[in-house]
Amino acid sequence: MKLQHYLGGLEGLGPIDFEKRVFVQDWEKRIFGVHVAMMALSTQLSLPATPSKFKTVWTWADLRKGAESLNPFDYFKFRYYEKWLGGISGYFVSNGYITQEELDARTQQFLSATPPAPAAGGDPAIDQRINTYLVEGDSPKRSGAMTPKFAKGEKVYVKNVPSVEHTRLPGYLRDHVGIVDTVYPGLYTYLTNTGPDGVGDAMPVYCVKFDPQTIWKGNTDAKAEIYADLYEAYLEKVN
Amino acid sequence: MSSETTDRSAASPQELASAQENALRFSRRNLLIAGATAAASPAFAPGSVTPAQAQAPATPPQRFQYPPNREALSAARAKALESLLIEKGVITGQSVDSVLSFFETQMGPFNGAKVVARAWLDPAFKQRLGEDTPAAIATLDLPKGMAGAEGEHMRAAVNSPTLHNLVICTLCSCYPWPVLGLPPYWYKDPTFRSRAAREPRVVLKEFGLDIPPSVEIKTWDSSAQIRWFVVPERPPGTDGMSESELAKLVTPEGMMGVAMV
Repeated sequence: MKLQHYLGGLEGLGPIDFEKRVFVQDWEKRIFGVHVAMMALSTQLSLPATPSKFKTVWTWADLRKGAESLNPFDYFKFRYYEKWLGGISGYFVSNGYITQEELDARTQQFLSATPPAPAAGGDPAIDQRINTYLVEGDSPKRSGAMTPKFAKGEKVYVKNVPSVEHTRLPGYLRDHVGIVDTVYPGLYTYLTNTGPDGVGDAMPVYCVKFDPQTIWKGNTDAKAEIYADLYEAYLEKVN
Repeated sequence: MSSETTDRSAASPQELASAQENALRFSRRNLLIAGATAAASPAFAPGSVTPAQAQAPATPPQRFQYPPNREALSAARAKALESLLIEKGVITGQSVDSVLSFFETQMGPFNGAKVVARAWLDPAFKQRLGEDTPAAIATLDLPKGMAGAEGEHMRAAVNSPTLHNLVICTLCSCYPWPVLGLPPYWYKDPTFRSRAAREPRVVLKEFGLDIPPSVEIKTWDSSAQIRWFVVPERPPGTDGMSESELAKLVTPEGMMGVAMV
């Protein structure tokens, strides 16, 4: 059981920080921009090739895997974009784009009294592809012969699938029964194959309605419903 | 001072074990750059805290200590990474700025505000927006990319006098970029994500939104590839306002369900 998969419903966390800014430090903007560029240049997309030296796959799934595989105490310790900075830096080192020594040395230069000038240059086709990715997106929707197993209004049981490094099944729903509220048209892939967790290949997706009283009995809102979009692999028939 | 040496000598056995587990997938060494310099403070010099002391209530565990230059270190690391990626031809000198500019001009809450304002003025549009969100949005004069990144499949949850909708993402921070841009910190805060699932009405009250017990709350957890936003109720006292005047009233918080407008 990974705490990060079970955030929904966790108690005792105190008041919410109603911070409306997207970025609370200027540097956070830079790592966000790098992440978007990586997603846009990722090799699984069918976008025109560019002179970029980025020759591997990077999707949201890679970023999420990193955060989900952290020690849960670190997950809470580090701010949102601090986790991104750690995960993305680690990715470039472990995939051989840069070395840890280069990164450490350059970091020290930027900390010094005489920081280097910002790097410049590059082929505009790279930035054109980034723009195209943002405008066109990367739709996971597919057509196919697979017909949905469940119908609107049908009760479904949420499986407790094996816990692996990454999932799209919120922990608080595992082993609970919900009612199909929407059968989304078409089939949906996920960005990576999660193995025994079960998502990746094109499959139906449902919006499933749950009664919070069945999940957090006597300890939740009296007049509320909670809905989640769930891949078919996470559901089975209620007998 | 070698940051690596400091990192190892200051790390607990649990940290080291965890670091080994995660070494390939997620470089803890990079994540812990902040922790690596904690020893710069004499109070946290390596070896100065014994296990017994570390367990005493007066001495917080080192895991939750941050170095005094936490932000400066992250800023330098982010600059270092970006400059190396530019030099090596992975991205260009303009890539990050052009991404940020895109979210200032093309994808942002200014689009969602226009969608909501139209829904307030046009009941047929509002109905269609709830039933087929992408088709309704496609009829408006908005920038290119309204079905682009993180908005390929959007759904609008429409508020009414008897129903209040709230959008959350308990697993990460899924957010409808084309209409809302980038998520504010409160939405990404683990505390919000945890609590809003179980006690939405209590959480909304903390946001200053008093939802009467008679009004039902529907909470939408964005766990697959659908991206959700809320169409808030038109506020009272806005009769006669133009579409653009109405759009100015609509906030990102209103379109996630934590504020009335």
